[in-house]
Amino acid sequence: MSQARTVLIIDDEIQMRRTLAAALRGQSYEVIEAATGTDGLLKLASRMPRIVLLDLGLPDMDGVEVARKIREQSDVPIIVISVRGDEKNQVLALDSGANDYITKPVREGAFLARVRAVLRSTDPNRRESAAFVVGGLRIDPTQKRAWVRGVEAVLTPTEFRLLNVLMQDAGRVVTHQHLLRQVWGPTHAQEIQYLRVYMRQLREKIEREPARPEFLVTSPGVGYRLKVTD
Amino acid sequence: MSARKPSEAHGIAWGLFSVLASALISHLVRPYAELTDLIMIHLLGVVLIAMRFSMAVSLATAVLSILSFDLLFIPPSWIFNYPGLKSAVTFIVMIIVAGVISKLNERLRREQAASERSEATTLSLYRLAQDLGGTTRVEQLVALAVRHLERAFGARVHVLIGDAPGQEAQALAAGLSEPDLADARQAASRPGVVVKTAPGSGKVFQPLLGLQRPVGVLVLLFDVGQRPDDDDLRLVVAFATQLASAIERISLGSAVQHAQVQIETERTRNALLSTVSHDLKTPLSAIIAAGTTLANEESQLDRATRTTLTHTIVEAAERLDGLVTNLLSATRMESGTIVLTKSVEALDELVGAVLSHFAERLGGRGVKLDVPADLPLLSVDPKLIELVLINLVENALRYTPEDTALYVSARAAEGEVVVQVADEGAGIAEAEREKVFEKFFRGSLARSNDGGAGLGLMICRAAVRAHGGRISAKGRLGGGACIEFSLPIAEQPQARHEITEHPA
Repeated sequence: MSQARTVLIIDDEIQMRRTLAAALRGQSYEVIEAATGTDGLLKLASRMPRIVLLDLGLPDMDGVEVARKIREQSDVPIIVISVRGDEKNQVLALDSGANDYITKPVREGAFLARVRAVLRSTDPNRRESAAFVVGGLRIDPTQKRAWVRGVEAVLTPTEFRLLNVLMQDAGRVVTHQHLLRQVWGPTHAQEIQYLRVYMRQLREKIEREPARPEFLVTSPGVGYRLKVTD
Repeated sequence: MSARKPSEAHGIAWGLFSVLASALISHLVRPYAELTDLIMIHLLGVVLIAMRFSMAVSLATAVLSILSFDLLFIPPSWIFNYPGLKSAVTFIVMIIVAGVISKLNERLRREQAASERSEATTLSLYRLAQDLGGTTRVEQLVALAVRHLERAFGARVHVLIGDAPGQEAQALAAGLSEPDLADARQAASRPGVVVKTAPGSGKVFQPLLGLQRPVGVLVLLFDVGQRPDDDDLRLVVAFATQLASAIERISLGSAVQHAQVQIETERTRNALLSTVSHDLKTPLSAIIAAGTTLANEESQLDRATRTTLTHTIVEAAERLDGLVTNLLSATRMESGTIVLTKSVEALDELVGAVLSHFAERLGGRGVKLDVPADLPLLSVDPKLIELVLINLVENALRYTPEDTALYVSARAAEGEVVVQVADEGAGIAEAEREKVFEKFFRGSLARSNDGGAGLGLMICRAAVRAHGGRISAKGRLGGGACIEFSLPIAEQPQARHEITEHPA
């Protein structure tokens, strides 16, 4: 059984590890550090952390490769840490099993919120009930109905499927590819324009100000995130 | 390549015709003329033939004329009279005249053919020189040379350039045989033309010698039955000389160009470093000063001072981060290695993402958005356009008072979307509206310590232009600055039943 509040940080920069560890310990998490991918994989097996923070630029192996190897042996949530402008690898990491990503420079508030969101959405005890109420949003998958701040939003079947996928992964980025596959099926994985059109429609129905969304936020070049406010 | 001669059969026909015509005319004028006049008429016929046709035809015509004259006009007619001394002289003169004229004429024709040929040669060399002068790439030059040479010689032509990889494979694919390629390779290394005459056909291997080194080899494969003569070979050498110097010119030219680009890059880098090191040092000094103060355990700091110092560090670091991001983008765009990762994007989403990025700094500022929801989708690199919007909003925030509003608007135009980001600040002076997009240029209204490095708008321009769009600075109606840019639209999704589906 994994340790309830243990975080494994895999990053070769000691200053980065030290800072992240300080921020996490301040929130009473227990922190394990690893400077290489190999060491990280070893500590993952021996210490069974509850969540992994993985830097993509490691000296001994490719970060995306580490994510893939972790996924082969464990369902532990992974948050990838990468530099800005490396969208290609962010998407690659997300598609090979990472649950979310944050870009350097890391800002404490956003970082801790992301860790909390991933922990919550992957909490085995709360998953069933919690996944369907997020902030002011509530959905009922069996009836395919959705409510925003207590008022029902009338959604088309496709709009509902889109919202449902984002709700299941609330708080973390879902890539375009993943959304297209889940909502439209594998043959439509390239037709990003449908996604744009439906996201626009969905925002019209859910957001107070669709151009400045509170729930359905965009990660340019990567995907969408259902924002979770603590 | 011999000049065309009138054929013998043709000549014989004209000869016969001339004899008949002379006889007929003589017959018609006979009542009014002396016998010597009739001889003149026959002589004229022979001369006319000799001027145009070969020696054999001329002599044959002369003999025929003599025979017909003797038979028809020297009485008694229809019987061959052995000519008397006088007539015999006339006949001999006639034959000599025919021979001499036709001889002269033949020489004339030969000279004419030679001069025509040398004119053609000069012309084709001239055309080649003219075309080669206009080329800037070796492949283009080779293609041109091949075309010219094939036209001039009627042979198949290959040009092999020494330092162009993959050329030999290409030549093999174009029909050059392995042994010919081997011969070509051998010929390329030593001066002098190599001519191989297989039975019935000829192959010419002419090295291309530049001023400094051999640059390649020229191969001419003549068709069966065709063989190059000395004139052809002289022409080949002339072509080869021109071709070699053109190739050398191009390779020297590109070396010079390469060096120039490097010098320019070096200069830009130095300018960038000297300008930017100051901008980098300012926030760094603040961070180090505040950090060391905090780290000093002996200093007696109250809680408020500690908080101020910590905030100083965070703010300076954020500024540093923005600057480094811009520097990296600027360097990437300067070096021309900018590769667009285009996808179908919605402008309202990009604007929304950028505004949420600035959420804290926007604070209570009013943001007036006019981005229609039915705007066409864009075909752009999302991270680059995000960068453009971030820079424009950053500028607006930096150079305008805190209680003023920001405007972001967009409208669809033909094949593009036009975006405007405007503010209520002091605006950009009319004279500076072009210059603000230049590297390191700072508007006269900018303060020197505001953290800007004069890179933001330069990056915006490079990014917009990389998308084939335009960007310009304007004044906002009612005061303030306005930056307007255009972006290409994507192929819009076709109406499908799904797009217009109804709620469940």
